[in-house]
Amino acid sequence: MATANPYHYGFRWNTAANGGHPVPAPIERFLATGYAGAYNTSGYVDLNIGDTIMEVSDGSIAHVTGSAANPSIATGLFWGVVVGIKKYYDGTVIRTGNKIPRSTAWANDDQQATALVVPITAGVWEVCCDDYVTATTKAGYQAFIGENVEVSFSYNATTKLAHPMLDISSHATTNTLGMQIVGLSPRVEVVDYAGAYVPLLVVANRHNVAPFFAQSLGV
Amino acid sequence: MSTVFDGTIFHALKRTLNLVLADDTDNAKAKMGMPKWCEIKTQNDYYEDDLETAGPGLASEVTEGSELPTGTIREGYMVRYIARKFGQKIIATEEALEDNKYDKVIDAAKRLRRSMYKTIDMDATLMLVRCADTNYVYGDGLCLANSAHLLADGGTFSTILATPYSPSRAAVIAMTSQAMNMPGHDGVREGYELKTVVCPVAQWAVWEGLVKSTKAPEPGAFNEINVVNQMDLSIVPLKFWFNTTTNWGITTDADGGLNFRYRREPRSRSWVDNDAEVMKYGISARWSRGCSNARGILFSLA
Repeated sequence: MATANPYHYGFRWNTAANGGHPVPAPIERFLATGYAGAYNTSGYVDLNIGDTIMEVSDGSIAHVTGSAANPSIATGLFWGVVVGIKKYYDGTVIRTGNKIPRSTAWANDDQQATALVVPITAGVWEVCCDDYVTATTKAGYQAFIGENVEVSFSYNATTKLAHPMLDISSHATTNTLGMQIVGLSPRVEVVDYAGAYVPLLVVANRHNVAPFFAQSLGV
Repeated sequence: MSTVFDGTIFHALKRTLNLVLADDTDNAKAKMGMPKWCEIKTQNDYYEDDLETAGPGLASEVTEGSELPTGTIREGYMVRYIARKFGQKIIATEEALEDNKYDKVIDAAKRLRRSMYKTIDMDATLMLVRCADTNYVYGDGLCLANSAHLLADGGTFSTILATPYSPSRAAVIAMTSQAMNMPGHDGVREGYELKTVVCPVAQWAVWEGLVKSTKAPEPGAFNEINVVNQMDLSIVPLKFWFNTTTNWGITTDADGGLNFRYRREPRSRSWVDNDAEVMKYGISARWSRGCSNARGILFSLA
């Protein structure tokens, strides 16, 4: 009797990577005015805590997304994870919150939509798997450690959440995949490896955080 | 997960709320189910070993004037308890703590205590969740619910009903008989008494009726006494026994059965990281749990 494990949204800070400081040290990054939010065939989503972001050439950030043909599978270069929201302008007042709504427009420095972002290379992240058929046992998941895996999205047009998860069926040694699996989450609440939402620990593999960039594509 | 920023608690920055809802954090320790079916002990070292010894068995009839036959003692299996550490921390910015208007919103220390005691409860219940999982074995190399636990002098005994029963008077009667017939460490029939019913929550109601009716609860047998009621069993439905709705077990009075050993009870700390000006609240505990004597619980894998 498979039992779903508790679902937790997005990328969650587990520990510092490479002996870094044991606090996820955020950097303020802004969103372009009117940033529409990521889109796939299900609709647009907001920028939420736990979402992965990439850099845009104008200095802003945007969701990591997939290709036009397959928007549910990440293809972009990862730069960071949203860990908090500093502020955004709702058209009347400056707000803070747990998300920046899509299409948030701003006109000046005070109003600029700003998220708190931790570079993805700073941490070991805990992320849930998006299926529970690729592996069904602890040993099955352990066999994936050291392999790479892509990130998938399951957009919800109602809640406007992107639900980044590990596309665990993509696990492979392919060097272009987004994340590398470094372990199983040690949470006690992970109770059934045959159930949904098994969380794994990952570090970034395809990213452009200088000076650790994996692919030297400037944006 | 991540730091608690002002934005994380954005609805608590002004006094506008009537009620802040959160999981109940009061009396977290008292709410655990584990102490009702597990013996709680203290562990004094990083690891502890429990050793089974057996012998000498029963005496012999001796001819007058001849030498007494020799009995002996044999060591059985050893169970090692290694203290494992569990912990968690919450990081909150000083700004969030200054600006938060409702204690219950962050309430990091209480949230962590609740988290830790639920972790303990769940970790203990995993012994039952995995009772038939051969990846999780005890001193004799077998999982708890097994039909061939090893005796020190050779031979085996079972801790499962040969015919699985759903909860019923017949089931408890069969299990009681099995417990009464169970061999001790020397392989000689010893007999144990049933104590506490442990079951998934789906079975709570049927056990209540079964244990607490003074008359036999089966239709048409109301003039017969309910022997199960005479046994003074306690019932502990376990919310974390999640992988079945049909299995159940009853603990016995055998020494060294299911037990939980604190190397260190949950300890809370709070400290400031002055570089980031964040407050950190941490909790950690060390414990081990296991079973030194498989006779401590009988199962029905229905």
